[in-house]
Amino acid sequence: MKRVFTDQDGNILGSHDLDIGITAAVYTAQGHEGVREFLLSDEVVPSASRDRETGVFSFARLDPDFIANYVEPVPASITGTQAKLTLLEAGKYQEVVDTISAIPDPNLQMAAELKFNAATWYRNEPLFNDIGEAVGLTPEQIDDLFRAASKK
Amino acid sequence: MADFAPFTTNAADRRLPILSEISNGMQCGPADRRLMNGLWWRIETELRNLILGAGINPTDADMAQIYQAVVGIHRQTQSVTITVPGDYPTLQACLDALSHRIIPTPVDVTISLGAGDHIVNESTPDIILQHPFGIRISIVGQPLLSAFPTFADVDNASAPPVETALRAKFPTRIVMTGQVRAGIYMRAGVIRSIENILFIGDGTVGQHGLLIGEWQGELGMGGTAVRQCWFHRCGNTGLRLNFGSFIYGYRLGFTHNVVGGFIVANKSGAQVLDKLISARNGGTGVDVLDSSFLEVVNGTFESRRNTGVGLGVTGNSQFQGEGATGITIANNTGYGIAALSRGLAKTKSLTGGGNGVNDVFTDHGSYVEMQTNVGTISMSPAANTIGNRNSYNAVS
Repeated sequence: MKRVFTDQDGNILGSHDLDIGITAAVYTAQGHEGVREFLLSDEVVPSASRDRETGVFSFARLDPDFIANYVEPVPASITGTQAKLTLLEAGKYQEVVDTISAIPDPNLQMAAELKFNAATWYRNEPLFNDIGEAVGLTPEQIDDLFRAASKK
Repeated sequence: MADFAPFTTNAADRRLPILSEISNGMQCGPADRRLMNGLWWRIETELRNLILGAGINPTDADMAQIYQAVVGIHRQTQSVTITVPGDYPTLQACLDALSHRIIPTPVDVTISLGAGDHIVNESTPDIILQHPFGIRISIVGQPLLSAFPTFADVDNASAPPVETALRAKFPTRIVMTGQVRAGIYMRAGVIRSIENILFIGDGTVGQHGLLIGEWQGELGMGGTAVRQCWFHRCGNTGLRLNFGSFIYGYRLGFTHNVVGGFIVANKSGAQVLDKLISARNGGTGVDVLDSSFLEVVNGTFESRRNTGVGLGVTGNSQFQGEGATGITIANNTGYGIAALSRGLAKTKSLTGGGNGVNDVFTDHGSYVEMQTNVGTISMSPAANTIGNRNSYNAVS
């Protein structure tokens, strides 16, 4: 997976591995307007190219239809730190802690605490939907929290 | 000749040529005595039979004079300047006349192209440079009437005014009209230099100003020094090197060429000193591709206002600009510098701005190293950050 930045016309400004600490602000600072960020699998990131027959170079550019219909994928996992920081910023951290504390079955409560304090949070863990529902979050909102967390 | 045995490897049968032999045209180094004797015997026999058949009975001394005359008429014994159109009406006629000449070091042959337009069109044969003693041949136009053009002199979106400005500086022009391959086409060999010539095309598809080696179906490996030459409005490329060709350039300019200004392709190499200007070309200003190499040293490099990329470095190729005194790649419609597919570029004092999307775009394992940039240079990936499929723009 790559983090891809484009200008307002969809021209690629840079594509980076997710663990490279770079944000849209870096490309905005270069003077580009309307910088957007996309998460794309490696094989679909467009390349600049040179046509051997004509010698014409083409820009690396995302297709406008792709941009129009783009839905940012939900990361399969995030770190526990990213998750908790995001909950904190969303004003949900204490609610989640209280919800876990209120689980009546001690074994389930212990399991929830272990998962809450795990180094990695997996989106396909059913607990998140259960806890999320208890604190008033829909699955789609939880997806958004995972997306936001992945950028921290 | 009973002991005649060609291709002997017996070292005792070889010796260095004596001075009188060298002065008479034998400079091939240690000779196989019996082979040479055999060859001369055949030539002598043919000549003698010819003469005897004519009813003449020559002495041995007469025959020696005949042999010397045969060599002498093909041998250039002193440096000479040949004028075109004075001594020969066209450059091709002059080259044809030189085609059988032996031009030993240190003899130099200078073809002095006169002022005016030397026409290449569909009814004239290609001017083809290929001579076994080409390293002794220079093609020299008349001295420029004023200083070599600057970017400001040629910065006009319209080609005709640029041509007018260039004509005012270059008295000698090679002018192409219609579907011709090149103003000068070089193949498989070396020419000492091409100097002080303005190459002008009319934009017809396929025209090159100077073409060294074909792109397909031919061995390249031609080389020359190109000094103070300008390439304007060629239908294809101003100057193109193919397949292991090479030039040493000094003050080169390219404007309004349809496909590109200057292309170094297919393991070719070029070094340009003092000035390299490529502007307002229809495609790429300067394109280095397929394991080729271009160096700009002790001078400036400007690639500006081209419709395509300012400088392309692709396919394991390298641009070396660390020795330049200043590089300006600006206002190109495409990227300023595009280093793709393991391209490597090194710049010094790079000025950008106004290029399409980015001043520098590096992709697919390429690397651009920039020393002491002038002003802000936009680049992808961001400076000193890995991105675009393991590419890197190093800024220091």
